[in-house]
Amino acid sequence: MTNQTDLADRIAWGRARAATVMAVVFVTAQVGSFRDDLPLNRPQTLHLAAWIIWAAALLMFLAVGGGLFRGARIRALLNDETTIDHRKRAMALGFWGAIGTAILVYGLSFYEPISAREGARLIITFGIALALLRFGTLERKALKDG
Amino acid sequence: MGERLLNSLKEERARLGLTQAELADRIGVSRKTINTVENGIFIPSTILALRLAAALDRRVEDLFRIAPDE
Repeated sequence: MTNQTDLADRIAWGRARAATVMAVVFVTAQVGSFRDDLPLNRPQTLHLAAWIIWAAALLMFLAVGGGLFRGARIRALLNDETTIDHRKRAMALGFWGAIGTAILVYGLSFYEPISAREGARLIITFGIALALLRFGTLERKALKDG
Repeated sequence: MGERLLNSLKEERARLGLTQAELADRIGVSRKTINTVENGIFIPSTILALRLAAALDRRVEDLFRIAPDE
């Protein structure tokens, strides 16, 4: 295996594992904070700012896929046809996850007072987490030796 | 729709004594892409199919075929 192909393979493995771990950590952290925030206790501004930056960073990770500080060849290998396909499929699942969560939040709002901010957090959290999980799963499956 | 694409990529690669990584390196894709195409998980674009055929010195239709109806 050439050095660059080998390196791209190793980075892709790391990226696939990281996607899964980040999804789990992201959801777990939100679940913990929702217990305090829902339905009436407002989250602290700093907490919210950190969360939105975290969500944006995860979206960036999904959209770009890593290898930013590597050469053009490695970046191309990390974003070849299969990765682009996996990213599209992951984003599609994330979209459906976000829509599904939005419907649940809508239904929940009839029984529990829920602010727009809290609803948005739920929708964004599950949308991003599902996309990350799907991306990680597809990538790991593709990387396994045939 | 719903047709399956079969391929003889693995056999043709073995004929030339190439590993997945070596073939991937020849056409500028990741080993993962070769692996998924070989296993029928991923259907390559026309451009990738043409590059695979050129790298293996075969025609695209020698490498890929639609599975017959069952």
